[in-house]
Amino acid sequence: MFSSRTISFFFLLSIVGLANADERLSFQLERLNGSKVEQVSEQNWPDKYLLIAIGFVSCPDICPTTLLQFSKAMHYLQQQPQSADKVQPLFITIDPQRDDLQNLTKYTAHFDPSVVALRATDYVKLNDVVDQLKAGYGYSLDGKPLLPPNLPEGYTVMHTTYMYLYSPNRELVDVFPYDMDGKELAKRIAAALTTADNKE
Amino acid sequence: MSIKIDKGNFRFALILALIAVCCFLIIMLFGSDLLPPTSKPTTEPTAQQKQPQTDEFNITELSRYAFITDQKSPQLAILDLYDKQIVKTIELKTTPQLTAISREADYIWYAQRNSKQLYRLDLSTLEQTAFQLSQNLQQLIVSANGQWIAYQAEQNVIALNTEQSAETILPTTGESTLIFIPNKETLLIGERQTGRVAMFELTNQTTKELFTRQQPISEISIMPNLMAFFFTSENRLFHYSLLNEQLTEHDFTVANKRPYITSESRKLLLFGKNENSLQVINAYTLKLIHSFPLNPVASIENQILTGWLEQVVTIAGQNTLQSIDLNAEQSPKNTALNAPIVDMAVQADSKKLLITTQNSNAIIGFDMRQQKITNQIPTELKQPNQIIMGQTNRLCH
Repeated sequence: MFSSRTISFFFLLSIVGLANADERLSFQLERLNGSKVEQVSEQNWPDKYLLIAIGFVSCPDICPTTLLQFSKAMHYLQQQPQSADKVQPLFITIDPQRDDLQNLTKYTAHFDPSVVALRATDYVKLNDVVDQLKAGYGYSLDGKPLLPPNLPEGYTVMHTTYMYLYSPNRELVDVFPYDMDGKELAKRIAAALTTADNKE
Repeated sequence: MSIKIDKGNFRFALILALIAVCCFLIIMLFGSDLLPPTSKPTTEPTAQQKQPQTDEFNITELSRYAFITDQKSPQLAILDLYDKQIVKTIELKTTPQLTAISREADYIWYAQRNSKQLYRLDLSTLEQTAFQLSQNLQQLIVSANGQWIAYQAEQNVIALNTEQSAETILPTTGESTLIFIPNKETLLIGERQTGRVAMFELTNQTTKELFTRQQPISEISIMPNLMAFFFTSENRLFHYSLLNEQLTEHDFTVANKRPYITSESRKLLLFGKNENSLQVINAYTLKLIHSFPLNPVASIENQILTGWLEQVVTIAGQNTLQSIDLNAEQSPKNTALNAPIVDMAVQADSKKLLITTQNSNAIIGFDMRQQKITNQIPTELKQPNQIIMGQTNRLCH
């Protein structure tokens, strides 16, 4: 039989499982601003494109690669300042049990200080944003699946690996594989911005 | 004793010396590729017959490339998905019929069906290594890090530790589904004829029996987040929870085909009993979400694939590609093709489907967002066959 915890996490995954990729992104997460924790939503960066990835601090290879490409892309975009100013990179942890805002922020800043580290206060909010991103995640130990909260020591996190570009009105513009080189990523982002500017 | 050197002999000796110097320089410049190949057979399943190709070509972003085999020749074409062109064609050791990729290790594995010879192509160095197997291959899977191989032989399944050159024979009946469970050195084995499903722990060599259905079962699909696996049997859907270790039968009347699970682990796609419909099922509640009518479906391995963030479903039809936008609630769109589909694969960015078709040496690009063919990329292959994506839209572990 399912435990109540099983049912609640299954319920979360199932009820929000059919979000439309054309829907506008919205989220309620928290970030560290100096030493102060503050609530943020998709509205916090008006007029900016959002470059988003999900991941976790103890990720061995995918997340460091993603953040490295974020950093490289921002570097290249800064050579066209009008483009860099329009893009805000965000990194959302899908391991809120282990990633507190302090270590998460320190982690993303190590790659690029412009990346804003975000964390959900509960699994409802986390699952909501992950579902909108059409992403997947889960936890396991020794190959056996686990359900949050209260995960045991030594668990492993799994997740999908896209990088997403959302427009200022929070529509999905483009998706990139995690290992796309930062220079190519910057080129694609700049092209998306130019296309949007030409439409206006 | 004196040695008489006349002008003719001197010229001849000089020419011979020049030829020798030229040969030496050519070998130094181009390496041993010009030397005749040795045909020494391999006897150990460890690193043998390494033949480095001195080449400037370097693969650093796996998601940038797709690898296309040839049905009729030992060749592998490397398709650059950014520049939309074939950037290199590699000569293989045999015409590949079975292929697999270890994405963490950058290896492509290939073999001919019913042979004992397996080859590994290292994508970072382009070195090819031969492995001698004890039995004939019928089916092949590899672990992401390249350490483990499992293959279907005629009477059993064999797990090979490629680092230790050690094979373990696992007695099975008939053809099986083979799946490596990520994050754990475990091989899931589902016997198609008997319905016996077991997990073999690769490190401690123990087998855990999960259940035996006593009926033929389809191939098994596991949720990328490892919550459960699914199969069909006697036109019913079965779900085995890896959380609760329980097998459950569900009330859908479906074709006895492998269920398809989307990469975010949320949707299950199944053919209706006569393959004239596609049923979309919530993978957690196992409730039917949609049912779409279908035209006749082609029998190829990757007959269902999803993309543009798992919202667009593509199904190989007979000389057509059927596509469905799950959120549009419209009938499938049919895109005519000139010939039957050989293979299909979705790019890592979820936006494009690549298709090989019979009697064409081109790769067709199908835009998942627009649901239409946008380009065709010519190759030098005689008959493009399987498409191996450098990366996919699957979960990382």
